[in-house]
Amino acid sequence: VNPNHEQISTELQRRIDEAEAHAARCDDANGLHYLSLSLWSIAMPILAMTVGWFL
Amino acid sequence: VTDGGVENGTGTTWPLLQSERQWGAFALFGLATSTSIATWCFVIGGYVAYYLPASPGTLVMIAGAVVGIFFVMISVVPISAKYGIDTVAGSKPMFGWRGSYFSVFLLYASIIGWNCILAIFLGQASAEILSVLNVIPESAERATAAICGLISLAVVLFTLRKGPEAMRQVGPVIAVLVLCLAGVIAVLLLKNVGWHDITHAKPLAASDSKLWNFTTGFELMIANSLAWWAYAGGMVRLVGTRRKATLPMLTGLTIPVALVSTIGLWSALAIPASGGDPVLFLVDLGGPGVGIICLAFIILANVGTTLVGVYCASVGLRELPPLAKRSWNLTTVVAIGPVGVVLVVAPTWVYDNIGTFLAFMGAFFAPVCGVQAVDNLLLRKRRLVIRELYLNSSESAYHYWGGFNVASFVAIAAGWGTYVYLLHPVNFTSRFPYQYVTASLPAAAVAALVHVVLTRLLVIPSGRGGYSLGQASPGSDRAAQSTASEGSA
Repeated sequence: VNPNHEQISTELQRRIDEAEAHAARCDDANGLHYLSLSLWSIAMPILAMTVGWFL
Repeated sequence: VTDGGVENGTGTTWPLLQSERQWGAFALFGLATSTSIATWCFVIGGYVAYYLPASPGTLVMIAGAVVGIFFVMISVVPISAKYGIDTVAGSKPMFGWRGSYFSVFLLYASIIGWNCILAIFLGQASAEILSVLNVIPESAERATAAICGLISLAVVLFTLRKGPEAMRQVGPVIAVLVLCLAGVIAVLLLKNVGWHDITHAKPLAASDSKLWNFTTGFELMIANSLAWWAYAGGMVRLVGTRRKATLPMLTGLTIPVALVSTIGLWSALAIPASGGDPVLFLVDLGGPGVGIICLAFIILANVGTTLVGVYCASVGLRELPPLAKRSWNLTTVVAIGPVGVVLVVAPTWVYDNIGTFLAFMGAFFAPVCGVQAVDNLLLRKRRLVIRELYLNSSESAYHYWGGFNVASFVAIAAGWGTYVYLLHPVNFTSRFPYQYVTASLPAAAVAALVHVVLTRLLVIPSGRGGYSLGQASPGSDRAAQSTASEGSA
């Protein structure tokens, strides 16, 4: 990517603007999301390992 | 953007437009499933069979897959899904713009490694099946294996010539077919070997410590799942939002791979000489019909996975200046070329060292995931300044020192050292407290901790890294640029 190339720079800038606008508008990840993800990723393996240990 | 055969931005590392991010949750699930199911599952299951019997091994593999994917989900996925950028571009904030070449190396090396394994497996299994079915003489197996592998690579190149759109079309179809075929193979395995023999088979090389065996089976699956870091960015950037990406990635990369790995585990336990690969003895027992089913599974599963790997590697390679302006098709050839060479020159050597490759995946990717997770979620509060990712010069906020973030590289070295201390990737010797904590988890934790400490003590006070930019109000480009210039001065 050569930011000095006018055409590419314009296209890239358009993409950057849209990506930032979209991210600001649709940032749907929050604390609750990461909490539920963490709980699933901790509880599920502990359960599976515990059951596996006693099999 | 017209770029070789790709008519939009999906063949570049630039942020994708919303019009290019039209993949839905179902398409992503199909892609994740078709990517995760390949004959590497047999190999992984075969390795777990060294340490664990069938029932505990199955559950431990599911647990390991979930934990490994968790690290991918909190490191690369939030960045790529939010901004529509690939793994390499998303790693610039933590590594620096020149340091991101390390990501290109990791991505390229790991995907080439995996693609070598898949192509070799496809070639060898196809040749063996054709030999058993008397289509080719036994003496022609080696040459046939190389030819079949090379044909599969040519199919991948042909399919990808127009970019990732073909993956969306064929991904769900391949996913459904390989799941059905895997189910048929599992039933054939149970029918021919018997549930009793599988569940009562002893692990092949278990240690005296039950805890060590559990931990090692768990660790192998975590290390394998962490390797999705290389693939995940290129996959989730095609989906519009993080919400659409989470569930398909969580389910598509864990459950199918664990279930198909179970076939490898059962096969290795029941027939130790198989090494987890049920194909040959099933064809021996079942004849031509079973042979055709197995052959279809291997071709569909491995070509589907190689397709996604080559796409992700190609996008990452476009970050390198010599390839940035070359055609898309040339980039895909560069991404797949080394696989073809290995296939012809040294297939046996690669195949014999898969275990070491797996362990190295954990040693490298665990620290990378740890550093990226805390860098994005904790230190930057999930906000990057996208413009700065594409200023590959001292003007960029992610310039740090000469384009490298020393803090993250020291942190990754610390994590790597932790991993190697706990579990040697080559000879699998371990040190306390490996049996209680695994090697990947402490490696990620140590790397994350070192990165946070060095960033707070060294990087942020020096005004480097753009850590203050993320907190600026959206659209304040002038303020952002001003701060970036100060940071890089």
